[in-house]
Amino acid sequence: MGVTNELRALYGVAVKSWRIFLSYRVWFISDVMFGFFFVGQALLIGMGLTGERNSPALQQLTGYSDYVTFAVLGFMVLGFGLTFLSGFVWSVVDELYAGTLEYSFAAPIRRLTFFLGNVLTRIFLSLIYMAIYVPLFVVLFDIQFNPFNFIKALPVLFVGTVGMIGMGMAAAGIVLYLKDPGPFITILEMLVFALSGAMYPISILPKGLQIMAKILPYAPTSEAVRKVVAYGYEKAVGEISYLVGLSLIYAILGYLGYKWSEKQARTVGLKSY
Amino acid sequence: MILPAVIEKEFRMFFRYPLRVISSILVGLVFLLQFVFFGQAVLGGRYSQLLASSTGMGDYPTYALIGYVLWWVSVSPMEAYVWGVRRELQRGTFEMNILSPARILELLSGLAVSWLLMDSALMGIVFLIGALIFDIPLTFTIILKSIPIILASLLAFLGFGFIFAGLVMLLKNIGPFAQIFEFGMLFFSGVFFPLSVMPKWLVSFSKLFPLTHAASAVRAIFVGKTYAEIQGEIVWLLFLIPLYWAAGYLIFKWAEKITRVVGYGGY
Repeated sequence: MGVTNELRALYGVAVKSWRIFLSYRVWFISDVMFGFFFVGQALLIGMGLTGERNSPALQQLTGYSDYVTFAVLGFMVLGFGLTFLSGFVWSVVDELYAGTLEYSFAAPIRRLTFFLGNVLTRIFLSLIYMAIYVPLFVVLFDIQFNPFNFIKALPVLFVGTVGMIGMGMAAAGIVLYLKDPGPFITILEMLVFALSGAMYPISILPKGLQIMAKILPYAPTSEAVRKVVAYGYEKAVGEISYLVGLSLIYAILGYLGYKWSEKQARTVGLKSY
Repeated sequence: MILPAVIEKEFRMFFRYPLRVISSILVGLVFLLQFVFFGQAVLGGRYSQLLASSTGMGDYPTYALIGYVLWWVSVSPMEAYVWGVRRELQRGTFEMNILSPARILELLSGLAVSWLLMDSALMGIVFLIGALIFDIPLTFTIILKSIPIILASLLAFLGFGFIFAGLVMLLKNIGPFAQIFEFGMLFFSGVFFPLSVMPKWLVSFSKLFPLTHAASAVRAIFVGKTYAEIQGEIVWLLFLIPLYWAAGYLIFKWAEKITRVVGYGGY
């Protein structure tokens, strides 16, 4: 009975979140266009600087000579990964701004259900975006995309996802404390964006930033996925092992961090606007 | 004095949250770094012979930094109208401001000027950090020579953004359209790549954007060209300033007339 109720609540939260999104449909077009903007820029920058579609310099650094394929893979991993971070933190912030957070948290459902419902909608959206992007990128940008290789790398993406969920939970815990969490989230998202290795190999970053990028779960996931897609599992054992360890740490720390933060929030009270 | 009062209000609201200022600078930096690092990874260095032959400037970080900072400032008045007016509509303060003895044109101009000044300050910081990170040589002469071009560009950007003032009153939530338009400006104005990679008709179309000429003129000054050598870009800028101000004003007046009939509406 308890499980059925939680599942119904999960469905309810997801549907509510989906309906709110659908009420501003032009955002969907704007979001989809962002993907084309991102990849289009990559293509035109490469063409404008080298005049060619392949880059020997990038191949030496990453094993990928086609810079557009490199950027597309990074963009898709980043887009999928940000789903969790954004899902966790914005679900708190949106309700905080709307003044409904205390009501939602007072509802007889588990907090995790509340978060997962919001994340579920974003995952669904993320899958829709990918279903639009992949065929159109192949046609428009002549991406050398082997769906089998990408499917082969999915388990690695899911391993990274565990770490990303952990980080999302930890961030949601911090957000509960802040009166104006918008700038904090923006800073966090920008750090993730810059250090995700979506558009460039993190090896070209200064040493300090490379270490930061390695500590966050995004760049290790991008690297492992790219390596599996290009060379297979045998050559990516090191990257995958590191990712498994990192994801585990994030999952534990994220869960414990959020639990602690929530306990504190119950004592001092949630704040609204 | 309405204009300084609106500017002061906007400044107070923005700088009240220091974390917001930091996050704005960080957003500015991260977008810049993404594309510059990508370009460098593809190039295997920072100098592109192809870029030099098509634009006169071969150093990619300098090329991207100038275009990017100007792009950010150029969309600032547009953002002021789109988000500033929407914010007031959401708070329910827009109608009250309309009812005040101030002219609506003054209120909106104050909003646009304040956002333009704030973004110029933020982008000045981003520019300096970018110049430090990418080791871009800056001289007093270059900065001094760039100032008149930048001032003319700001005037053109204000007029260009004015077109959106009327639209936002009429259509309310045009944020997504504005975002698409801003992305479009990045493409059509050659911010991160030379326009030579675009089809000829798109290159001609790009001449309609003040940013194209502003970026091209400032880049030319950075490589040591004189005003006489960039007079084509300067003439374009001077031609676009009255054109966009006039177009913006006419659209605004038309939108205001309709909005007075259908109502400003809140959220």
